[in-house]
Amino acid sequence: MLMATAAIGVVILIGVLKVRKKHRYESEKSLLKVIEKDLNNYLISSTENEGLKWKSVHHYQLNEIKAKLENNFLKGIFIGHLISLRKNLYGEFDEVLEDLYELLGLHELSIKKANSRRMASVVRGIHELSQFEYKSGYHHVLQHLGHSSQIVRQETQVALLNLSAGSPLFFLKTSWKDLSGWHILSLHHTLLRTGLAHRVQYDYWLRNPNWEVRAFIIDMCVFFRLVAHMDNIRGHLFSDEYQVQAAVLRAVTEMGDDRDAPGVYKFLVNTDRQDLKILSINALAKVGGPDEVEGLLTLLETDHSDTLLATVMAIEEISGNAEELIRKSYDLQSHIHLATSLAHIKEPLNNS
Amino acid sequence: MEIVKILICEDDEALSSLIRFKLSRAGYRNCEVAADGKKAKEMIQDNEYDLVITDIHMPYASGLELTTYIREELKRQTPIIILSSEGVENTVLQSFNLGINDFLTKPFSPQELVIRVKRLLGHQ
Repeated sequence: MLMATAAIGVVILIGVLKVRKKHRYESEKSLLKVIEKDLNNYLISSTENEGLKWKSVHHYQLNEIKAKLENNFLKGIFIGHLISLRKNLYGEFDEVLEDLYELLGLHELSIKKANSRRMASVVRGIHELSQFEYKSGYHHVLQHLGHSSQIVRQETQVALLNLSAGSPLFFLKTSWKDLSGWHILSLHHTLLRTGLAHRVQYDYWLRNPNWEVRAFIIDMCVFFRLVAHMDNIRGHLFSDEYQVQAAVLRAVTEMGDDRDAPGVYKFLVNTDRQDLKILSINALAKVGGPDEVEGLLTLLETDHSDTLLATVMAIEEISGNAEELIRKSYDLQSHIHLATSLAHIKEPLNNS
Repeated sequence: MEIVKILICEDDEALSSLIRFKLSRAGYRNCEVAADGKKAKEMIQDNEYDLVITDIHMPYASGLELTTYIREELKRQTPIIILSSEGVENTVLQSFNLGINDFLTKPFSPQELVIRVKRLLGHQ
């Protein structure tokens, strides 16, 4: 009996959801049909025409659109249309779409959603404020930095990047939780898309007590090829956290120069972590010189095959004659692994 | 300008409507819209278009399938512009290999689209 009731309940629920979905779809279509001409006229006249005559036409179109957005449901659908246009278009429409969002008072609905008790509404509200870069909505978004839901926190962080153009990453100061790979990519993408990457105060963030922030900032410098910050980055090589050390080594590999070589070599011989050893050797391959080759030749007794291969490859990359140099110091008959590593670099396919 | 017939294949109605409007403002008033790949194929089969602008991701048939249909099955050389949110090299190369004439990555500037349309139609 109970099972039958539950089954009926599920069927009714599915039915209701289907009807709601259909209703939304039909509402979307009919709204677009009604509003299409005014919206297009408004957008095109905003970008193509100037002067008093067009200003009054503009005003008329705006009022027409306003009149058709009778309730929050229709406004919500319309915001969706505007977001879709914003995602698909750039250039002359960017500012017009932002202005339209504000002139129609749609930001008020987004703020209402951002302050809602329902998580789905909060996410939608934050997303809308972020998409239209409604800067006055900053504090309505900021309040969710410590939200219990990871989805809300992530949406918040990405939105804050969009909304705090003066000091992007400002929010890192107070929040650095659950930063997934996806989220880091989102932050990078947002910084890239918005052109805010060069406005980040990297030196300031490199002094942050939170090592995760420091590691992230170093990775960002690498991502955006900000060579000017290398002087500051290389100072973090002997930091206490291995993730920061790894980030510095990645930075040296991508953007370092011969000044980095002695420090990296010193780090290499002092670290016990194999992953950091390999990163150091890879960095030396890019920035090392004859002194580092001398040093690397003394490290070929390692039992760790990946480290051995990286070392041989680094010697080859720096000197161009690894085999000759290694044969001078080692008997390859009795150092099978060394001979195998050399065979790797001699085979062109293995050098890629 | 002679009467030019353009087909816009795009499932996002707000976008297709704006593209059509923008093109009409540029003098291309004879624009038709197909909201999915199947409809686009039918319209192309029944009509001679001077230019086809197509999204790459559409229901029933993609922009690439549509290109193959026009070039391989109908053997027509109608100029084709692909709009895609994927600007990755593979997609771009594949599209050109199939015979498209131009490729625009979303987000795109409608003004730029108009310029490319004019160029392909020899109006510039």
